[in-house]
Amino acid sequence: MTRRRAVLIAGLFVVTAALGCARAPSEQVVVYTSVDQVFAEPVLLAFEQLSGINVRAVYDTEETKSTGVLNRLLAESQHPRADVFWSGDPIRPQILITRGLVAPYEPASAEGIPAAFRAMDGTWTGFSARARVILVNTELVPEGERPDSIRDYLEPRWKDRTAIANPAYGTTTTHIAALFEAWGDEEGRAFLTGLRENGVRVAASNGEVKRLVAAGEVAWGVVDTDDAAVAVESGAPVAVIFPDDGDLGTLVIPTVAVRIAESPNPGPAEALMDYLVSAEVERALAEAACRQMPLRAGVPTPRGVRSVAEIDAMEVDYPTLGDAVERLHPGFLAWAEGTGGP
Amino acid sequence: MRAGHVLSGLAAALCIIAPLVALALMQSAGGSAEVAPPWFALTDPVLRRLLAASTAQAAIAGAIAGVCGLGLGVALATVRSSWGRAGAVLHMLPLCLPPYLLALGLVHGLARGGPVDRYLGSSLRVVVDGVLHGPGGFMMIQVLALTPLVTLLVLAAVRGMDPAPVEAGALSRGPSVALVRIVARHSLPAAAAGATLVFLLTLGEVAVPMLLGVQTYAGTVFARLADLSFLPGEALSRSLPMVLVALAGTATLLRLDRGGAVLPSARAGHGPAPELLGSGAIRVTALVTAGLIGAAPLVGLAWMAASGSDPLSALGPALESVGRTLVYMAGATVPLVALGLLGGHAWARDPAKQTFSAGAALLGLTLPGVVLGIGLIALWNRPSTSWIYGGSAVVVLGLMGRYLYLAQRAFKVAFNAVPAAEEEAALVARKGVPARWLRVTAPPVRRATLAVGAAVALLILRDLDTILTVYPPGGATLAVRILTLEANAPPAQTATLALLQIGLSALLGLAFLAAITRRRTA
Repeated sequence: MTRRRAVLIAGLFVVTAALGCARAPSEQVVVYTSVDQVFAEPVLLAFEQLSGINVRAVYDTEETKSTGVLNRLLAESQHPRADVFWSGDPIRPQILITRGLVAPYEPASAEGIPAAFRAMDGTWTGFSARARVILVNTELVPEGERPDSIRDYLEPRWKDRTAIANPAYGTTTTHIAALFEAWGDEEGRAFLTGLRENGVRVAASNGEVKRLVAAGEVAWGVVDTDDAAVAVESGAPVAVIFPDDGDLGTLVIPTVAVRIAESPNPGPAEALMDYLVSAEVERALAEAACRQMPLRAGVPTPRGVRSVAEIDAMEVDYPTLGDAVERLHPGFLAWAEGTGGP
Repeated sequence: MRAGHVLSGLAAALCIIAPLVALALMQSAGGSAEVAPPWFALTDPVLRRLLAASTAQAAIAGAIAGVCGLGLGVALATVRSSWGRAGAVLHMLPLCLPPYLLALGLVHGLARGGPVDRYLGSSLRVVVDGVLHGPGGFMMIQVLALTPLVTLLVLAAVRGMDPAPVEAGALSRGPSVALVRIVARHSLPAAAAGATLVFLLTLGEVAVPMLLGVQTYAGTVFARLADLSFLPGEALSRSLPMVLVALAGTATLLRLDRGGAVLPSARAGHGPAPELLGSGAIRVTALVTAGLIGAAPLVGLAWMAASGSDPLSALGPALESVGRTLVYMAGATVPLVALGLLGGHAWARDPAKQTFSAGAALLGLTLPGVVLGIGLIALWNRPSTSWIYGGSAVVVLGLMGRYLYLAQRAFKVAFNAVPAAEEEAALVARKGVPARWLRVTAPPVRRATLAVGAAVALLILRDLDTILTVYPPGGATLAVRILTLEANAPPAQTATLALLQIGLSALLGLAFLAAITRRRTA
């Protein structure tokens, strides 16, 4: 290679890098979201087109391969970069609220959202929910033999035939913590011990549980409704069961929007918050492949999924559940690593 | 040389040590929970067992990759068959993807109704799937993903060797003896360097074992910074035993590398002539077999892509991320090559002074990317340094911290193959520094420079660990986009993007191959 060619190649690299660093200034909003990108991105693009505000997003991963946007928010807390955190669950925002990293804001468009799913002080607003459901492989489990309770994980007939996502991560943390709150710590610990003893396969994520059930690697597992909806849509031999009807009830997990305190773009942040919690977005997410459940009355219920009002929902106070998660999480992590438990 | 050591040390301090110090301060400033001391991992029986198991897995993966890469590199350098070369190209393809995506491809390939189930039988599928979801599967993925690195290093070493003794050996004692006793023995240092690399990258790998449900020590470090956990001090503390293991492993394995020529230099020859080394039927078979094995996860991805209804719809929205990938790649490769050249030269000519810069750079390579990433946030996320943290610069710094060791190490080996006499003569002749570098020092390693640049760029293209933690909002690379889309996006679309990633990397990989296999005419 001649020296001239080498210089040319190096020069091209430098110019490419310089061009990449240059950014045209424009009105923008920075959103960090733990909602799956495949569902969140179309909503954010629609907002961009509607408002003319440029949306810059950081997405999370399904498994535990990233730090999670929550930790990035915590790491950046001295000098926040995000304007809005759109969380896939109501627990992670509670951690930010506890640490004083959230600015109260009540979106005008939140009218119609039931009080149980938003904070009266405006620190968080829930919308468009998921639920924790049992996904069953219909080829492996005939209709009359299907599980209908989370406790079925401990039944001897399901030994080595079920899967659950790692309780240290994602909505499974919330779910197991809710069970601890409902049953008490002793029964909760017995449940976790029982999972091990009954050979429940601990998967990296809900998505992995969905894959294992759809592929027939296990008979059933608990996932979120969006995972279940994607499995149903793909034509896999699966059925969805809302567990513990008439008993504990099904855990409902609303997505939540919070405004980050001292964020760099407060005006656009409020515009995005208004858009996210609107009926329009609830409808869009209901019609999307995730088939999320609108919290408002009057928004069309997604095909094949019951509305929040139709299911026997577990009674949960989300801020209290957030405290429980913070208390129990180190134990869940130790349980997953085999070094202890909650 | 002194300037080289200083620059190398400064780069390591800026990109690795300073972020880690900032991370430790972040934990103490936050008044977080008490941090267990670094030796806790060595005294706690569960963690000690995990560290030992992870070290063993990494060592086994390194050893297997070293042996396989040695054989395949020698074979590739000494055959003329186009079948052999085609096999080699397929063997290289897994290098183009983050190992996580390879694992995902295999998981889908081994699913019920997948190609293995359909064409090879369900009993084989169950057995292989069982192995895949265990330590054996983790090591298998790492070997599959990283053996091509060893192959390339060995190939470069063989291409760089003086052909005369090989040809003399082949004529006097036969091709087999010449191949084993001269060519393979000459390539041992390259294979050892490659095996070390595989060992280090396997020790720090997080995503693959998590996907496969395998517990590793790096996983417990990562878990201190994952999802609801935010214990940066604890993560750093737990990282230190890993670094000790990495240092010990590197020292042990690199005892084999006593200044051997891993990368080609202008002074070296152009490798033995294949026509004197027999027909090479066994070597061709080995290359074709390796190619078929390397293509297996790609078949899984292609199967996923083909089984969807509209796989190509994923390409349009991904184009921006392709552009950003190239920007980060270009932005980090140039300084890495420059620093590698200066630092590697200093390491080669005056190795006694490399302790700090080499140790710190090794730290950057070994730590899980998330630890360095949170450190970068702690260091640069300030109003006065928004121009760094708010854009691509922080990604470039992260990538430099991650790959500084590799760049310098590769150049060190390249310079080891070049006698210092001419440089000393130029120094005596009082030539200026720029003149010495342009006319004397750099020219002998110009092909190595291209090869190192391509190798670093290839690693950056597939990087996930470092970029994922610090990429600016709206600035995801293609590999990151694939990972964040993987959750619930149609598998066909994810697979299509993975194939695009392969195509992008393959272009660069082919340039790398061309650079180190092209016979010199001079």
